Amino acid sequence: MTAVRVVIGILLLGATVWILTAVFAPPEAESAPMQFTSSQQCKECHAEVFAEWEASWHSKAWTDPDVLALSENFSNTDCIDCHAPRPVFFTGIGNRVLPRSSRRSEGVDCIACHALPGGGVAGTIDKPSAPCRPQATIELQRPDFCAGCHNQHKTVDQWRASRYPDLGLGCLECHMPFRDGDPNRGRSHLAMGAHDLELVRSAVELRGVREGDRWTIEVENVGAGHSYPTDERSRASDVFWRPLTPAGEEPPPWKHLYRFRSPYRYEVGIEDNLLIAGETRRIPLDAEGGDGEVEVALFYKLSPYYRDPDNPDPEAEARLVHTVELVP
Amino acid sequence: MRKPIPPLLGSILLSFLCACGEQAPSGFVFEHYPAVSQGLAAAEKAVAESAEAPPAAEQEVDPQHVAGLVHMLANSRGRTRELPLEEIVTLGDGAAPPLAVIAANSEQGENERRAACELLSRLATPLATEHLLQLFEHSPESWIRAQAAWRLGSLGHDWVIPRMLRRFKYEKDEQTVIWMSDALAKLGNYHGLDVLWQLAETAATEELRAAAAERLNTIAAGAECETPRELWDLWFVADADRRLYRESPSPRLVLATWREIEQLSGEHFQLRGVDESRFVLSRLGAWATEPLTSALHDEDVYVRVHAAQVIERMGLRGVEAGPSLVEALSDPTLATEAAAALGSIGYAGAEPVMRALLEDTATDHELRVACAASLGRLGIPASLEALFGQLDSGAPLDLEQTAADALVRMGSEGAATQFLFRALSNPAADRPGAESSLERWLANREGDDAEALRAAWAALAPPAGVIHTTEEAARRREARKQLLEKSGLFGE
Repeated sequence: MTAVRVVIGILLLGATVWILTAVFAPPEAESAPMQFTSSQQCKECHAEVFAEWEASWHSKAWTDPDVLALSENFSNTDCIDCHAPRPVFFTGIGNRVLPRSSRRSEGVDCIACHALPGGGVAGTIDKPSAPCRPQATIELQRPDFCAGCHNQHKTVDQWRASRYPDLGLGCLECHMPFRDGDPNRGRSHLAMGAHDLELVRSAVELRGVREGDRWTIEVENVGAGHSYPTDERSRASDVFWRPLTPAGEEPPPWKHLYRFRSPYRYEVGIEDNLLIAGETRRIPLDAEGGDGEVEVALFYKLSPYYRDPDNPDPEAEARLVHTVELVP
Repeated sequence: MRKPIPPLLGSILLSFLCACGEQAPSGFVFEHYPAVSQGLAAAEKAVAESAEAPPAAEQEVDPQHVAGLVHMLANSRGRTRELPLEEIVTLGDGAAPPLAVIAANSEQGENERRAACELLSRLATPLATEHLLQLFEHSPESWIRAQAAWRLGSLGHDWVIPRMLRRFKYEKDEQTVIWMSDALAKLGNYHGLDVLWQLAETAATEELRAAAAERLNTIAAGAECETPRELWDLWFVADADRRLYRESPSPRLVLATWREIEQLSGEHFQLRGVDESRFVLSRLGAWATEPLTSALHDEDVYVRVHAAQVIERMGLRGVEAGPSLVEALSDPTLATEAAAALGSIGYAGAEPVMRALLEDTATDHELRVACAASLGRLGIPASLEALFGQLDSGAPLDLEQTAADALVRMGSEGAATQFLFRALSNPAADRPGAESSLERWLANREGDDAEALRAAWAALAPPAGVIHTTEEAARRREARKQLLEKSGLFGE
């Protein structure tokens, strides 16, 4: 009899535990969301995306030497907001971002673009069972998403004023295209931009047109959905020329002809002359010696200043975009 | 359908679960209210009630007559100089626009333009001051900006300080910077001391270096300090006796300050304007702590966060914001910035609460990181154990590294420096940050071997004015790591 009581007691206890567990255990979908503390957390499941991001300049937003130079090693604290931002979804699409104080060395990281308030991440599919709980979020693909940072230098406004919105071409089409052009492969997270010389080359064309006995240089924005260069004040592009020399001879130094740039506040003597999307700029080459056989080059500068502004050395300090040899 | 649980059993279980779970909220709520609009309204009322007379109606003045006064002043000496200076006052605000036109006209002679600036400053009305400010802000000629700065300084209207600071941020001409610093000092703002100090060492010419040094001494004497260093300490570190606050900021300056705070709001998209306001607000002086502390409560999260950042950038001068910032640690939208600011302003009273937040693994990660960093800046020995507890604790790497950096700031070696040494080559770590931390450790290390190590470390730095490329920086870090390894102080 005692044994029966013990068995019944154990059964009752087991039943009680089972009932209590059923009552108090949180449903699976309500388990605590993953706390994002580093983009390294994404690496294990998203190796390809992580590797692309790691190779991108988004990941170097805090350590890029050009940024360090322009911000004086971030002693200009104003640059921090966009170079180590809090998650865009926390501050809201289209709003300006706020700076974060941890893991700044990760720059513009996975968390900055994907973390959602309340847990989970913005992605292309809903998958509540995945540890990071992705939610399909169309806003990720909209230019307004990038605007919090990239419209600080008016790039998104330049795009809005162009024909590209009507063509249905946003930021991602050029800067985060589908891998191998295949939508099933997802978008590249290399986030190509000004550091990618091929992309820069596809943005502009350089030509020479003979008018009378002089040359007129034409630079046309054929491929950028915003001004060339964009990112006002931080970038510049210069046209240089020099007389064409026979093969084997040392060419003379480049002579500066024209600069595309937007001035920094209070910078004097600088015209705001970025080449807007689709525009052709015509620049007469009326310098001494510029009416014969000449070589013309378009250089791109990631930071606008030359060490010696009076004698700029574009080959050492800038990147060659295009060059043309002009023979009458 | 779930059966109801017997009341006694249910309450026992609930008590048990509560005891195991998160702590009950303390009940303190960091209040949000329209701090900016209230501050602006109060400041506008104070301006309206202040003794300053409302601007008189602008009378029309013959520009030729004004030009004649300018010519007379530019070409006179002695008593005859006084005549145009006396007459311009009788013409009132109507004389200000033609004077500004002459001062801005690059085709006029320098003496005339200088005289026009002097006459504007003699007018001394708000409109004349506004014209001087416009010249100061927008003239493409640096000598006119310097002239306008000097005149603004002598006018004594402290409400021009925010706009002067805004322009100061962008000024490149060294001569003008000297006069801007001088003018600010005359108005009771010593932000320019830092730059003057630098110019006294590095200005382009011997003449400019001497001028900067001379201004430093003159400004210090004007502030009744024996040395520029004494004044620098009072302005940038601590002014317990309020020696630099001979007068309270004018109502117009307080109003201008609230207008700067208003610029921090989320309604302003462009960071450039926000940046400028942060720059200005963090350099106004210790008195600005009061409106900024109020702004911590504003309903707009951007205002709250940026106000905390501004206090952080004020450094030790912002220490009076300490108690409010401790309260702000309970506001999830503001806690991280509040913690960062508490370290920067050196508010020792925050140490126990920040230590507790750091040790509580339920605390938001970013807040724990900010607390660790700030505990390092406070440098109070009671924090050591909590910081050591983070090293190799399995906490996220950036928290461990921040704790290591904090320990190094506090003079600790051993586990902290070993951690940073390993971080130098850990791809998941903040390698540049580890390098900076180790450089700080090395700078404070004593002994002959440290001197040699410092020299070898410094030899790997880029030349002045050069910033290493990403690849060069990686090679430099590797070389420095090997250097440390060879020293025998470190090892994997």
